Amino acid sequence: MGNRRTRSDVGTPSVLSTEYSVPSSAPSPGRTRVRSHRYFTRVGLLWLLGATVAVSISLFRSINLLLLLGCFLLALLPLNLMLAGRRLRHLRASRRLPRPVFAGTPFAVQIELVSRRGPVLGLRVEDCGDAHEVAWFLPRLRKGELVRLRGEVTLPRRGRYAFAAVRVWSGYPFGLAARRAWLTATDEIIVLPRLGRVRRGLLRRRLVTSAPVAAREARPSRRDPAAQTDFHSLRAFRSGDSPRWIHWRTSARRGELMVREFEDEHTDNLIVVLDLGAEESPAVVEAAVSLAATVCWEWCRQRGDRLALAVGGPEPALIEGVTGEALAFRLLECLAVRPGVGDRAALLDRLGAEPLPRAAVLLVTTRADGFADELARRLGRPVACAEASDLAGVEFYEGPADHDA
Amino acid sequence: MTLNLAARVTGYLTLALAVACLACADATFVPALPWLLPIILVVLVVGFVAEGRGWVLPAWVANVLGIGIVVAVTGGVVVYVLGKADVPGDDRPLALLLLPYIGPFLLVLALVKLFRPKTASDLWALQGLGLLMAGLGCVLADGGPFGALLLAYLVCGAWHLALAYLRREELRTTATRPARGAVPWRALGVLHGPRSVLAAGLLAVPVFLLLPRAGDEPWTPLILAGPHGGKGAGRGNVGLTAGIDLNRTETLDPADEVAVQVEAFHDRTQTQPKTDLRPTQRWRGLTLDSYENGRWGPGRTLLANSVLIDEVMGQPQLLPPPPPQTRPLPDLGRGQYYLNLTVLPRKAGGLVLAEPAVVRGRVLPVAPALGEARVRPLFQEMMGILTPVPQPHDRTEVRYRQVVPQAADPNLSEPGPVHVRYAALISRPPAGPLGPWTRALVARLARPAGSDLRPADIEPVAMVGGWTWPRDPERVARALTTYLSSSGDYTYSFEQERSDSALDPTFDFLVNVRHGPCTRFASALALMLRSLGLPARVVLGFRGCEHLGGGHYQVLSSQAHAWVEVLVGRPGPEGTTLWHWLTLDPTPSAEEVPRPSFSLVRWWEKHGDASAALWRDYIVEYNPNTQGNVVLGALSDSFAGTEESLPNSPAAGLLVGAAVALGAVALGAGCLVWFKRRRPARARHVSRVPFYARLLDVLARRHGLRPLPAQTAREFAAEAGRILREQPATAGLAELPARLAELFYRVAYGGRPLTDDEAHAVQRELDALAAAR
Repeated sequence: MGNRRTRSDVGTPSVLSTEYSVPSSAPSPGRTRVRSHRYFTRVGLLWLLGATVAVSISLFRSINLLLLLGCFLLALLPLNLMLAGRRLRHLRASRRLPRPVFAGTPFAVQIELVSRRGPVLGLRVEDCGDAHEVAWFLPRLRKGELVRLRGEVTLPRRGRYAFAAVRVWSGYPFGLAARRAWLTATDEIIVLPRLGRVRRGLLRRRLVTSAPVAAREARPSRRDPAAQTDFHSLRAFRSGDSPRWIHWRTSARRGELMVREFEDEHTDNLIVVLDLGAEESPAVVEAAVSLAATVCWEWCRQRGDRLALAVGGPEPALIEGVTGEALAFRLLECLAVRPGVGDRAALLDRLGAEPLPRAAVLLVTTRADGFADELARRLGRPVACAEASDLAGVEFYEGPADHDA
Repeated sequence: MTLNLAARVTGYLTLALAVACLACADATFVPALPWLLPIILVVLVVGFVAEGRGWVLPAWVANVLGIGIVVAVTGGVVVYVLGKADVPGDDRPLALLLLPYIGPFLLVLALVKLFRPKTASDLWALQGLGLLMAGLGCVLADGGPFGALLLAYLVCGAWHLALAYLRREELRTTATRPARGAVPWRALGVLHGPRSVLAAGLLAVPVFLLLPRAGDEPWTPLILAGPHGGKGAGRGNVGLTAGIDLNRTETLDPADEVAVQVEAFHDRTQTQPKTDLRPTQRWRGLTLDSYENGRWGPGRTLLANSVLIDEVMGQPQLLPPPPPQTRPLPDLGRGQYYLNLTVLPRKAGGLVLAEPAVVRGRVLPVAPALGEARVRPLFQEMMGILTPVPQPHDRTEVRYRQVVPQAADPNLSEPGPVHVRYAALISRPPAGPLGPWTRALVARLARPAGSDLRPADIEPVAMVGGWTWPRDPERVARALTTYLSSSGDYTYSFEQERSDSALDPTFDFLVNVRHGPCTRFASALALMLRSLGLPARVVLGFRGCEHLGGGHYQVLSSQAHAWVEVLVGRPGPEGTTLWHWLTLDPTPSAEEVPRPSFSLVRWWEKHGDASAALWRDYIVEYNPNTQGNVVLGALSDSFAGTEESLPNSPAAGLLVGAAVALGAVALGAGCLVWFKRRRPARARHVSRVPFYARLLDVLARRHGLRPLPAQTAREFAAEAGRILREQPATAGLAELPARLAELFYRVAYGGRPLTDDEAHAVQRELDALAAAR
């Protein structure tokens, strides 16, 4: 590829609005045997009809010139069929998809295309799925030239999403007949739920206020930064930590900022329980999922805490771990594909069966029917409740912006 | 130039060419159309500029305007057509009447769509209208200029199709932002159109030639012209035809195609070439004795008054036939001479015979040529004169012999029997004002003193059978001939025109037009004679021939001619009357149509004629006969390998040759592609170092040794040396490859070329290796 010419279509933005630098997926391997088929376009069929009428009339009335014209028009069809996409089989393509992909958030699809044989003219490249279609047109693709095509895609719904094989199409030279070929394998990605915005401080306050007064009073106050005693261990620097806590020697050795952790330090452990009702509208359900996903996403930005997510459904899921990038994706993928309507008893049983970390509990529910109290009783700890059907009452949360608008 | 601009330019150019095609084709029927063509082209230019600047009418305004214009034009056309439908004798169906007027309708539709906002479907619709115009032109025209315009339209159309496809796809994929891509070809892809047309033509023309045809007669736009034609209804070729249609209005084109080839001999054994054929020798073709609605034809009288002679060229009815090659020719007396005629009826319009073609006794003066074995009735006898049977569509060359007597008066036939019914038929006066007009003319011609025609000569005399003749019919006939040919009132020209379509075309010629080709003069004289009660008929044939030397002559299409034969009586022995056919030529001979003498112009004319003939024979007038005789006949004969049965037409040979060449090229290309796909390309071991290249060549050719893939020069040399050592003749040279390989490394990679001595030594050793077996 040393002398390969490269061309890029940089007409669309490709940067995702995320702080995570997740490597994009590996390019799809080019297929060794390219599927293709030829067909007449709609205009081509009309053309065929017109030419056939001309030939029929001219044969019937022995109008030689019209017959010659009709034969010429007919001859253009097989000629076009023969020439259309003559070298499509010698194209190789790969598709790069970024990760993560959030519903409602634009992301860039990049396709690399190269012709192994001679030039290909009038090439249309299509990347499509159930909810998207991106197309590019290349008037000419030279032999050996690598072309990078980038398009912006916004997927509206969370869940699994299939990208069909990259399709190339050419009707050159007349557009009366065309040949289509599929160059790559199909791809499947998990589209994560839409994210809104959570104000961490307000959420903490909600969690604290939801606890009974006695519990609040018993809760140790936040450590005085000045009192640097009871050193316990080292941990990574978080936003809000005092620079005085930084352990410079360890930071220099590890290449990242490390701070001292003290014995009596309070941690932001959290248990998020998502409870979806069967009778709720899809919009409310999606709002609840987005709310839960946004809380998880926000909580995972601060590393080192324990976070658990319990999701209802026929087989309730409970995922628990230490906050960080990996846990964030586990939780969001679970929220993207798992949430379903299920019985609360199963969810409570599941929660009761697992040892849960010492953490505040946030119930995200679609209905206000006292399930929070039942959950609090079952877990033996206070539960803060956020109702997706009344997001105005959830002061720490702003719903996702509508990118489509 | 951007793709958008290129697509628009070619689109409008294609549309303009379609309009030009239509104007060229429809000019015969809507004479105003060619005059409107510049205006239409200007409108197209305005439309192009307006589209480029975004000046378009709102859709509803354009629609209302368009509907209004279309309704107005439709109304005008309907009124005009209905007016034309009242022409007497015009019995064409209304659909045929309307056909030429669809052209202006299409034009208006296209112009209306120009100023609308255009989507992709509008652009297709616009070009579809252009295609309809071209298609309509194919129905309305058959001339060469239209063919050239059609070709230009197709070339431009193919170019535009490709550009429009690219532009359309560009718009489809970049709908959200303006697309301003460039044309992805050099020189805007100008060659794309011709290449596409050539490729499509290679597919289309064989299909066109091989498609089975239903009707015998190809379509002619003159069907649409009606019985009286239109002004300037195209161009015709000078040549013999199956009849005369005086309703046609056209300009004759004096094509110089060879119609008849003649070899003349004094003796029966064909050893003494005759080189003194008269320059005005007449070659008799068809005899036209029926006149109706401005058309002369062989008519219904032939079978009633003549005997179709099968045994002339075919099998005798009773006697055992002699072989056709040895059929004897009669002895026609002193001064007779022999002709070998080679005629292509398609070009000559039928068979011809040298005048006088007399029949004496049972032995006919015509026989098949030596070696010719065709058996067909080709001639018929009419009252002692042998005439060819009309067969203008015969595409096969016919060769035959004729013996011609020495005639005392070449314009007077030998006396023969007269069939009264036939004489009555061909002396029936035409209806209309021609009779009184002729009688007044004859009276006027007989009036001046010193005239050859005396008043007594024109006095009517009652004849047997109830009709009347002038007292001296021969003198009257000669006077009328002289009047037409020499009075100066009439002139010869290639223009066949009409002045008053309500009149009979012959009378219109005599009274109004007063100029035209020989057919007009012959028709006029024959009808004038008939109006006086004289039996007269028109003969089509050729006058003159060109001597090529050695008794070889050729008769050209441009020498086609028409003259008149009138039946005259001469006193015979014992008070009887002998009836002769008197040949009269009323065509003015004073005017010679000037022919360009410049050689380049003649060359151009000659090749233009050849192209026109090709266009006419294989496109416009291509019919089942041509298909059967030329295409299928040529192919079958080629496969049968019978050289003598191959059609002698050079076009047939050309066609077969082209088909074979095309097939061979296709086969070769297919094999090449197959071979390349099946096997990887063999590495060619050709060195840049000459002496090493020669070593490889010698080893390969003489000893069958070739380097293996990935084998180094040194390895190959060692292997070659081993093999050379095993053979006694080359054992002494076994070290040569290794030594040359070392020299090769030195020269190729060490940068040290051979000295002269080394080069000579290497050369000698290589020569020795090449000579060793």
